[in-house]
Amino acid sequence: MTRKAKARLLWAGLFLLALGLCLFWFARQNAETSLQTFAMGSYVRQTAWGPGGKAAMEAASQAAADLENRISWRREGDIAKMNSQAGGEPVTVDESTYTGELLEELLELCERSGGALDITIGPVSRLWDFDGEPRVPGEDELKEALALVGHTKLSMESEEYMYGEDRADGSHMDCLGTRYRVSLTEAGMALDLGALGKGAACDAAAEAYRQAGVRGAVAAVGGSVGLYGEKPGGKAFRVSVRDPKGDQAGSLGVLELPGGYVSTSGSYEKYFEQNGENYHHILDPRTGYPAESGLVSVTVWCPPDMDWEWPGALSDGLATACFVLGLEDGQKLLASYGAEGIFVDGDDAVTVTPGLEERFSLTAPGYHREAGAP
Amino acid sequence: MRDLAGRKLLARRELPVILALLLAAGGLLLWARLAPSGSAAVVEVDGREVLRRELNRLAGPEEHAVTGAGGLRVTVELSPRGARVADSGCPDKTCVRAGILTQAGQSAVCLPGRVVLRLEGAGAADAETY
Repeated sequence: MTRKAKARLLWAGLFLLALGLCLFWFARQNAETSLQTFAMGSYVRQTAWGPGGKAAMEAASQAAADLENRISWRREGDIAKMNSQAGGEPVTVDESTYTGELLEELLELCERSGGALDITIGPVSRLWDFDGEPRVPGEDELKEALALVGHTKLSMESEEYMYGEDRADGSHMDCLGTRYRVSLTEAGMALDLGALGKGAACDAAAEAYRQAGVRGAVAAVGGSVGLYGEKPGGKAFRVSVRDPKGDQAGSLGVLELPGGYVSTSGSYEKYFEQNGENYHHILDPRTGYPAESGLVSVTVWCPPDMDWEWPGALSDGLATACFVLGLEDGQKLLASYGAEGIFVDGDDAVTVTPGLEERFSLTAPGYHREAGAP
Repeated sequence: MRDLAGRKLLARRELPVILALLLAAGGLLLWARLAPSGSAAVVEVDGREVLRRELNRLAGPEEHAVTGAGGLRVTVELSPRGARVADSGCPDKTCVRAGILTQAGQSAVCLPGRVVLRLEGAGAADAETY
């Protein structure tokens, strides 16, 4: 082999090596991994991009499971304890669980929605038993249960306190935290966070992604979706909105979003039939019966820059509140939070609020699109 | 073509070969991007994949029974036009009511049995809200 040929071969080899390394780096930066689990009584599907995705998703799964233990009334965490001590001694919760700050934000939502969302709906939701053996409660028992519902009867006192935290590098840090004393003031009262548990799990997942330093990830807990970071190439996240018509799994359209949290409440999702009548699972805390607002589905988007500790839970709770309130009041509530929404009514009208006008493509046939209130 | 030292990196007679290779690579990339990719039906039990079938490769409908949590039996039907949960031993039948899945990204979930039927494929959204 001549000297020139050797040089050519060397250059070609170096070029191929560099190309290979570039391709490997690019593939690693954009590698997509997914994980499927169950939490909050729902199917959880996560997708992550970039290095460390698998570990981040496993941490998010654990975070969602821990959260469920704390806030599900079926488990033995903070909420179950508050329910069991209703009418008695307050329950103290501190920074170690975050239950207090979650309840504080939810109470504000209950207040601002005029009680269309009420986290003390436990006595009524247990009578309907949508997750067990659903039935229409008798009028008397419903009246009795309804008397125990009312977020204003939930007492919360808070105080600041100092606590120590050991860091990973062995150093010690003094922190200022908030301690809450929570009590349900009447015996028989019960908290039920079922209307926002899935959204709260998205918050827990996003915090796990942040701590893991993952580049971008999506957590879909049932029908609530958390969109974290960014996708490869800076592309928008695409979220399909379920078509509320009939029982089919079709798509109403697609949202293209830069991040944030999306939740939907629809009367089609869970219901039962009794004496020829359908009863869906979204209860109006003011009547004790399934909400009749003329809507069949509400999808809410909380953008990534919202100043809330639990924006995922907020999106979930807002979707329920808006479904109960109806189109007009629902839009006002969303506007007060800086959130956006898609409202579908029984006449197939799809109302999209201004912030989603450009981000939502309606693809399902048979619907007509209307502009939301400015 | 000459390098900085003025030596020839590529001989003129090698150029056609290099061009042909570049064209072939470009063609392959274009084919990979434009070729229609069919949907795959995936069945999971408790988050673990137990069945995967490319729908457009099926000659006709086929049924598969899987055993979910608590011994719950779920039967899925796959065909070139879609996939559905044909039968389930669960009490609420939400998975059966989901109907036929035809688009990538759609899913039918049997929560009591922890059985999931979903479609994967090009064009699927990152998530579905419902």
